[in-house]
Amino acid sequence: MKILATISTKNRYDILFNAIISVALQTKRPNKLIIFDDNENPVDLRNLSIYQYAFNLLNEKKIEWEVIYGEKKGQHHNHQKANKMGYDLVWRIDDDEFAENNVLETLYNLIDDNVGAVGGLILMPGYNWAKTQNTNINDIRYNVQWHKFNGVKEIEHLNSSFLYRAGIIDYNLNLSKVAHTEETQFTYELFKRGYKILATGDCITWHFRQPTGGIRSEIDNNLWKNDEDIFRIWLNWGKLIILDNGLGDHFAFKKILPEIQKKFNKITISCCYPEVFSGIKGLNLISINEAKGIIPIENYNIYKFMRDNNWNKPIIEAYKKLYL
Amino acid sequence: MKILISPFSKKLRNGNKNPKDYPYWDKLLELIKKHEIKQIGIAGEKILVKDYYQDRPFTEIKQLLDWCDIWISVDNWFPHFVNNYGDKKGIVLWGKSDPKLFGYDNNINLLKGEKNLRKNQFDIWENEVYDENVFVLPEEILKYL
Repeated sequence: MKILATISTKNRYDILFNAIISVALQTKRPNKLIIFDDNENPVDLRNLSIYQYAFNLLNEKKIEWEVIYGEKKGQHHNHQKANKMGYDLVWRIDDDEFAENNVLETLYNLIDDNVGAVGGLILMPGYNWAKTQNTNINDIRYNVQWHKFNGVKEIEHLNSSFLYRAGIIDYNLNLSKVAHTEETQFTYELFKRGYKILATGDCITWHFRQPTGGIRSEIDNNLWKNDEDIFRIWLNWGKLIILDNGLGDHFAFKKILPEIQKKFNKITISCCYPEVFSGIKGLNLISINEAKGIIPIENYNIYKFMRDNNWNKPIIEAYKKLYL
Repeated sequence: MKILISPFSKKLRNGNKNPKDYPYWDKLLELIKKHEIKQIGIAGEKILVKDYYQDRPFTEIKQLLDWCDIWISVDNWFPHFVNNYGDKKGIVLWGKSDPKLFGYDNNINLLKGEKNLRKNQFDIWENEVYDENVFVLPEEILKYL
């Protein structure tokens, strides 16, 4: 499987070097490293001697590398580009992190057809916080990756750095430049698609958390609030169905609605023909535009789903696979 | 026999004729004129028979479904609607879309040939060229009435 490693960086040339070196020294080498440079005043890193060494080391390790100047819209835009570059897997690591040399190999060994993403421990040297380990989406304050444990856990979402199956789910580009919860939403969407999300305590990525740079370059609290609001609305929708398609597609979906209602208490349907569902109790019906303002609705496109999966069974079965 | 027909697919956004639309309705209706026929559709569609029901609510469409002995439709919303209300058999006139993906086994799915199926079944119809040769002739439909 082809693996792309990516680092999205902003105003952290002083520490980015470490992340690059940690990629170079992995026992399992990615095919390529792409650095998305969102610096306000980007420089050609090849002109800085320390980075010359870093890139030469990548060359020695036969890891192709590239620096792409980002659009400065936030790291989620960069991750989305990486997500769509045609690689099987993408390993994302933050610019203020250092992955121990077994990280990619450990994560890669846990990938199988049923796994959508896998992350290791993300620890800050000298800290051992997050005694409460949550694996559930409803409380993301204490991520399981932030506390030492052994073995592998099945969870619902991941934080910060992880290896994931590319090209299946889109990142939420409705989020602001700080992209608060972008990785949580992304991995939880993979989980909802039916893939396992794994956390392993058997490898460590060290987080040299910086007070400035990265998403902390932004000082407007409204950006975080905006993203938190989007996250909460998205969570509050419960089981989300998107029917941005024809009337027949609505009726095809309607056939499996009783099964969905048996499985999920809270259901929101964003659709073009709400009259198809009139009289059915317990549904929260919203417009397509309302959903579009919160999440990337393409993740729920039944035709994209069928195309991506070379679907050859009835559309109703596709709806079941997508939503049940 | 009471026959309900749903003859057209939704108009395309580029104004072109929908490749799912059956080209021989006039001939077919001539051949089955001894039967009682009602048509459902939406504003802007061609009216083919005297008993025409335009833009009716689903409750009324359901009553029309209950009324008929059999229904005939192109690959549009109607077969999916019917599938939500039991298994009253109908005849679906397929052209380039695949009944294995978008049809129901309990219907009479008339597909002229798998060779006519479009390569990308999940593409938008605006990208597809209309071809009347991909449909069965009206005489073929008569065998099932």
